[in-house]
Formats: sequence, C-alpha cells, structure tokens
Amino acid sequence: MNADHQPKVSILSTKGLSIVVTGIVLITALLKANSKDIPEIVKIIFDSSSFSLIGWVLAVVFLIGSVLSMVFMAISHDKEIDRLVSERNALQKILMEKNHE
Amino acid sequence: MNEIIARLILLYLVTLLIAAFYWGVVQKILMRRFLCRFFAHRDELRRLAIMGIEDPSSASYKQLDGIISILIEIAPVYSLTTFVWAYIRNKYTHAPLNTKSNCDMSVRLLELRNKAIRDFVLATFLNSPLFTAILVIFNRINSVLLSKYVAYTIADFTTNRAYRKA
Repeated sequence: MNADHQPKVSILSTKGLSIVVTGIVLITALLKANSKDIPEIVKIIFDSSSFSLIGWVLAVVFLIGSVLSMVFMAISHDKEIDRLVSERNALQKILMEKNHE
Repeated sequence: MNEIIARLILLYLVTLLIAAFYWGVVQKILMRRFLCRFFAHRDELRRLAIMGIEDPSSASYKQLDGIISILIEIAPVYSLTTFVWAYIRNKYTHAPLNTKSNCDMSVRLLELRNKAIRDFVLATFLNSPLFTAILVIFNRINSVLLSKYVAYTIADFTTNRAYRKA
C-alpha cells in the first residue's frame, strides 16, 4: 500500500466517542462541584475498595484479552502463510505447464 | 454529589483503558485479518485471469480489481464521518459501480464482489460499530443501500486520489 494514497482518519471520528462523552459528563460534574470538595472526592476514590477491585478486574481482562489476541494473530498469520504458499504453488504449476508446452 | 463525581472519574478511567486496549490491540489485529481477506479476494480474481477463466482486459474485471484495491486502502480508516463526507461530496456525481459493468459481470466476479463488499462492511464494523449496525438494519429495508454505501466511498476515494495526484 502506498502511504501517499492512504486516507487519514477524520477528526470527527466515532473512535473516541465513549471517551469524549464520559469526559464531558465528568468535566460538567467537576465544574458544578465546589472546589473545597475536591480533597474529599480524591479521598473517596483512594479509600474505595471497588476502585481497586475494578483495577484488578481490568488487569485480568486485559491479560486474557492480550493472550487471546496473540493466539488469534498467530493463527491468522499461519493461515495467510498457508494461503500464500498454495497461491505460489498454483502459479508455479501454471508456469511449468506453460514451459513444457 | 461527591460520591457521584468519584464514580464518574472511575468510569472515565475505565473507558479510557478499554478504549486504549480496543483501538491499540483488538482493532489492529482484527483489521489485519480483514486486510488479508481482501488480498485473498484480489489474488483469487487475478488467478482467474491467469488461468484464462476471466478476461483481464474486460471492463467488469478491471472495475472489480479497482474496487478491491480501493477497499484495501480505505477499510482501516473508514467510519461514519468518512461516509457522510463521501456522500455529501458525491451526491450529484457519477455512480462508480456502474450498472452496465455489473450486468457484464460473470457469476464468479459477482460472487467475488459481494464477498469483498461483505468483508468491507464487517471491517467498518470494527471502526464504527454503531454506524455499521444502523446501516445493516436499514439495508434490511432497502437492499440497495450497501451497494450505494460502497459506491459513494469508492467515488470519493477516486476523486480525492485524482486531486492528490494533480
């Protein structure tokens, strides 16, 4: 693929939609909150057991996801190599038949 | 209120991590698989020409070869906004999947074209899941929609490429 002809991802992409939406909600909530409440919010976050639990859950999900992704990539890579080998063999066969004629 | 803000911060961080994992790992790996499938379709098409089953100088062959090559280039970045821009820019221009070539296409070529379009829609599902789901639902009502969708995409890409070359 030629890099010059590669289209660019548009700025208004749906790629970051979830981040943008949750970010807007968060910023709105922070703006509405009193500045004296900020230390209390930080305390809630770091004292919360659910916060650390979600961290562990995410870590496990990402680990399993990464392993599965690697397995999928390896299978996909092997399949592509097999396909290329069969394509090469078929073309070599055609070339050899042409040379015999 | 403070409890809600703390939970929103947590939600934001979780979304950020999941998005990073999806776009950085999952989407890239799955998209590579789809690109391999597009290359397989193009190889199959060219093998038909090498074996003398299809005529490589025919308009329908050239059209399909062009379509698959363009789909390979645009599939990794295609999303709702790309489609909207393509639609706006090409609303009144020519239809690239012209009907005359479609009529001339053999059953094999039509089958290959449909496979490539199906794979393209699946590949765009990785970039824009919501948009593609809506598109597929609307396609149930109007079956020409998917062909039009690909047609606008290709028209836009061809026009832009011509601009870039000029």
